[in-house]
Amino acid sequence: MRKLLMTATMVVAAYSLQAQLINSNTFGMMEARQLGPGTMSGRISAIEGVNNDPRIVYVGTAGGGVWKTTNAGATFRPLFDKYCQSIGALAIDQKNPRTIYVGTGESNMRNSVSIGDGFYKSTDAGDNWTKIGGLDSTEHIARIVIDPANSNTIYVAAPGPLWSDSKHRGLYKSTDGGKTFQKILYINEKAGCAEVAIDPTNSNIIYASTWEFRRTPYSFNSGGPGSGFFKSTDGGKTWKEITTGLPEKPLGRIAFAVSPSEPNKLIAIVESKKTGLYISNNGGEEWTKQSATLNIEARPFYFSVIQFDPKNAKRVYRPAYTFSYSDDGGYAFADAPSEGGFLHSDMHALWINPNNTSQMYVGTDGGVYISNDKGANWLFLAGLPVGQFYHVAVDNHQPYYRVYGGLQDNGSWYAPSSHPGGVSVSEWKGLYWGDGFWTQPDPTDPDIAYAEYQGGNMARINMQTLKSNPIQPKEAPGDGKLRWNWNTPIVLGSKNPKNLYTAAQYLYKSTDQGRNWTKISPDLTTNDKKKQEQDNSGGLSADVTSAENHCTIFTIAESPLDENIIWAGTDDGNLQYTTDGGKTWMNTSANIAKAGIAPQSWVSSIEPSRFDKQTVYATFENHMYGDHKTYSAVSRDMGATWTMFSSSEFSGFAHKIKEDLVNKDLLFLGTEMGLFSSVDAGKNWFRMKNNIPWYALVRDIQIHPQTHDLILGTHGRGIIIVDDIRPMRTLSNTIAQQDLYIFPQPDMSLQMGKIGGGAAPITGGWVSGNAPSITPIQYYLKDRANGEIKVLIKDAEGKLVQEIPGGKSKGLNRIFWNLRMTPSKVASGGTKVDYAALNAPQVLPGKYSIEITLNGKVYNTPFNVVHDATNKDLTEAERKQLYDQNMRLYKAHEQLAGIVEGVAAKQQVLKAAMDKLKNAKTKKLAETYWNKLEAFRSTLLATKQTSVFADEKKLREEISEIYLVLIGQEVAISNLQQQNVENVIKKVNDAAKQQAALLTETDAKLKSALAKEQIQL
Amino acid sequence: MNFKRSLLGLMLAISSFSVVSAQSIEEIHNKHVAALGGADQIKAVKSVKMSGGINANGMKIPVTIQILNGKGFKVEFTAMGMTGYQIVNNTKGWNFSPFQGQTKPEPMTEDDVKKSQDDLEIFNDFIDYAAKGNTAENLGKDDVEGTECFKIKVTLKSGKEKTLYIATDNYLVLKETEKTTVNGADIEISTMYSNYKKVGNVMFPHTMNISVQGEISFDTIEINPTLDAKTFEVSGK
Repeated sequence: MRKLLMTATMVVAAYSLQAQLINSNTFGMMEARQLGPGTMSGRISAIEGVNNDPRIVYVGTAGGGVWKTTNAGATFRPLFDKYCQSIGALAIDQKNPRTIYVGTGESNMRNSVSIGDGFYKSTDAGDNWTKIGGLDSTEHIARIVIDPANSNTIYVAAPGPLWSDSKHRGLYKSTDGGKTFQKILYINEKAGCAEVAIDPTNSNIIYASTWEFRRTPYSFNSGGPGSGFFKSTDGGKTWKEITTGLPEKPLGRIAFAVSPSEPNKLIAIVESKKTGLYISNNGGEEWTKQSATLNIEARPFYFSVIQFDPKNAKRVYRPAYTFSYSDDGGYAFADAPSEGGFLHSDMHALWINPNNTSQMYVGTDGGVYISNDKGANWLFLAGLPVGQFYHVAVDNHQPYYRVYGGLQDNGSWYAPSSHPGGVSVSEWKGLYWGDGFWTQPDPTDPDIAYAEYQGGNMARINMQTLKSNPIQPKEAPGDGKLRWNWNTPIVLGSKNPKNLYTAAQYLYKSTDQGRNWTKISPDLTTNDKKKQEQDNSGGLSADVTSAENHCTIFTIAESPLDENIIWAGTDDGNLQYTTDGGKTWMNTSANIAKAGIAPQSWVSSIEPSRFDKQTVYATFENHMYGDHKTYSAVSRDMGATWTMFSSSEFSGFAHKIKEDLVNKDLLFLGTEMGLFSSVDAGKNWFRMKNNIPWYALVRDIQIHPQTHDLILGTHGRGIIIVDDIRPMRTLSNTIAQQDLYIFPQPDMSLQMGKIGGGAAPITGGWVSGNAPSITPIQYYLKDRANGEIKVLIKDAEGKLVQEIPGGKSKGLNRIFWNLRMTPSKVASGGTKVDYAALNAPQVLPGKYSIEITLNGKVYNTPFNVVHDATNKDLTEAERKQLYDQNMRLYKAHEQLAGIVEGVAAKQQVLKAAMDKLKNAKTKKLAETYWNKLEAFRSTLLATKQTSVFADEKKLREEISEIYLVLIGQEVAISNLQQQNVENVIKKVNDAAKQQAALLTETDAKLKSALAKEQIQL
Repeated sequence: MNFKRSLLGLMLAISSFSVVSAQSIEEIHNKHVAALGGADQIKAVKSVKMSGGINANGMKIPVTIQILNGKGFKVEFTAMGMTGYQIVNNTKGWNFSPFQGQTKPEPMTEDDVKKSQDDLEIFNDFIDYAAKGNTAENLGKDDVEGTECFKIKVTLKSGKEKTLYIATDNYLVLKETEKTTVNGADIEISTMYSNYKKVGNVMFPHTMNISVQGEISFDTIEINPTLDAKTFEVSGK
């Protein structure tokens, strides 16, 4: 029996090892850097402030979670890194402002909107969150309203799913602080609730608008019989439809507001065949149409905010395409002059401080702005790195590569991956305008990049002048109308970087930077005419922006092994390839369907293997048909058969699969809800959590060939970089079973970083940290270490160079050796800090080893420290010379420390003796001697300085002055520096002689005097 | 450890009828107290003197911490023959940092003294939280650098919030985060505790990593040294 149990246990244990050893936590120490930018930020969907402390403001974003400022926007911090990043609505219980509610799933129903996964509550001002309420399937939440009279009563307006019918829409009410909800207004599976408001003086009066809307991949419709405007006077038990004075049905989206100061006054923008602005002065019973500017009526599906000043019913705000305000209750509107600078267009959120209504925050497609003059002028808050990239690319720029990408409504940009002082908002440079998508640096011409705006409007851009030339291919006779995706691919050859590809329904190739193009394919799409009615898009309000263009090629990839093998994937289910540079094409869509992938799915990415021509990875996504499953697959036979990857860890539809550049078993998968990795060719997957928001919208993934960095283009958290993923390449399941494993240490180049420290500190906005300036030492621990871990650096002779406290975490540990020795002993007992005691010279090139002891077992690994050949200011011989001089000074410090110690010890004995002496003459003699010693000591180190602003300089300080310069320089020692070294060393030698003289001559005289009193010196 | 966990997993799988409920805060508290050595042993510790150093660039900067439970806290740093300190007692506090050119101890603000009162406790604020007037909340399990922990939020009498991460395998605190407000801005300090060893009958972490400041390790921890109130005063101030 016992034996049986033991065997069973071993089986389980073996299984656990396989399944659990390498997981989300293994690489936790490989902390990602969030590069930002805050420069243009990203789409904001909700803003709420604390009425009684308006420095505290919460911001909900389209794809970057929830952020909080406690200093009126000077800085923000993310609160939602473990949860869904698409935010629809926020609410603060103003009676207890530590209680916050978040409704996930943005409700600005554009083509790229992401879904949510429910309703969350925090009772500690956003530090911890709990998902409650059972609203997980609503997908989109537009508004949360808390009854001002009873904090437990909460209304949630849920438009519901955008891409499919659903019962999970409507207006929900909770009477228990969000624990449970009841649906109190429901129309049908096509129409949800878009807005809700409560009469601030009478909690029984509730207003709500319902909205019928639907997207398909190729159409958008706003409006239908399900849209309506409703009022309840019994807290939502019964509803009456409001129609008097409103336009005829069908209606679309209705945005409205109730005046907080005069709750009988309402204002509404009603989408209909004749969209207009309406006001009511009797609690919504009757409505009057107003004249309105274009901005008031524009794109009602996308701009759903209209708001009263909390204290003044005559002042009305309409943040929409632009920012408009009215001073006469909505009869006439003016636009904000914005003298402070550009106010980004497309606004979705407004919070007005009710105690100081001049102050307000607006959320736009390009971040958050604050106004202190009732919306006339705006100040941009640059601390929110929530940019929505569609793609990311990198170059080989030195000293640090640059990152390129295009963002939703924010053009195309690039920035250095590291910069002195960090990558700040001012390091991001704009390349091109519009909505940005693919932004590709030309690897064959550092002055050129390619970028585009929506619908394939692409250009070749000179990066020096920012002049651009259009390069979009045009139709030839017989081609028919070209169909360009909203997010048209611009791709460079992986095998031959001179090949530039783009595609409509046909694939085009250029070998002269887009000046001329060759069509190299027939129509690769299904060319389904039913899916090509984009000109009718929008529903009640026309909305034709190319966002619904369909039956297009969406992704292109040239094999890294053969430039004649090209893969192209469409948005309507085709994945085709050529092996002869485009002469013939093979459609693999039927084979993909056999693997269980829905036939009409978008081919979202294709990754031909760099290790095997026959192998190709791809991701597919079908969310526009209401199917959010994660589809990614591999074929090892040119697309004939496909194996789908599966994992219980997966969430979100798939955007991108990336094969590592070195280890063919290392894969990365980016989805709408997270980044996943496999170290065993896709058998097991784990979610990456190392400072990467767990549900980040990962649209694109690159791996830098030189720095081994993993670079993510996210749709809501900007660019995220995981520096140097080499440990992920090495750590196999076998290695992971070792108690401790030191990763092979790459050669360490003797330098003090690739870049300097920068000038004045950066004055504000989001700043990303830099890549480590030194190659880290990395080791793996199977279990957390309970005792101390010391990492010893030893030289070729086995002599200890430096001891470094090691990490003890389970999984990867990462520590840094500064390439220096242990600091020398420095004279002590002065009144001034001497930094020589904390710094040491860099070591010489040579063989070294890393040694770690764990549970009595010693592990070590050798490595090389090498001269930095890129430094033209310091040859290897000069480095040796510099090192020798540093070491002379190092020893000079030790010598001086010995002298000072000798003097101080003698002084101590004398002091003790002086207290006991009876003979006044002898006492005087002792005092004189003590004073002589003190006079001498005070020439050796600063003993009098009493302020940090004074600069007493004695021998110790003289040594340090030259020493600290020399150990921190990366150029050859100069003639005068050398002279200075000689001078200082001579002084130390002189001091030694002086000490010897003092300790013997004067000593002898005193000794005999003391002896008479039986005191020994 | 893996073996035990796997065995547990197997047993859970076999006994699929049993209801697996989350541990209550009391259970976690009691196990944590037991892991440290038990309530009586903890109560018997009235003062400590911890000596060690801050590790920097291969150097160790000597540090001594003395705590008279609930009454006084003193930390001393020594570098290059200079000694700086911070002292806090129930009513006053001082900082003296000759490294930064200070020539005499500078008094702490009343607010800072008030906010530092929890530093006068030898053991963490979760222990006997109710008796101390603190509240504690179990926030479920969380991962701390690869180790599964109970996440316990303790709200002190003063309103200060701390989150303790107690390892589920040995019930010792692995990490503690503390939120304080400086001029209205939230600042979070996090401390990792490791290298637990028994001193007398009580477990003490001998290594602490405080935010990014680096590592402090203690070579000796002395229990109940004689410390009088004068240790936590600056004469004439």
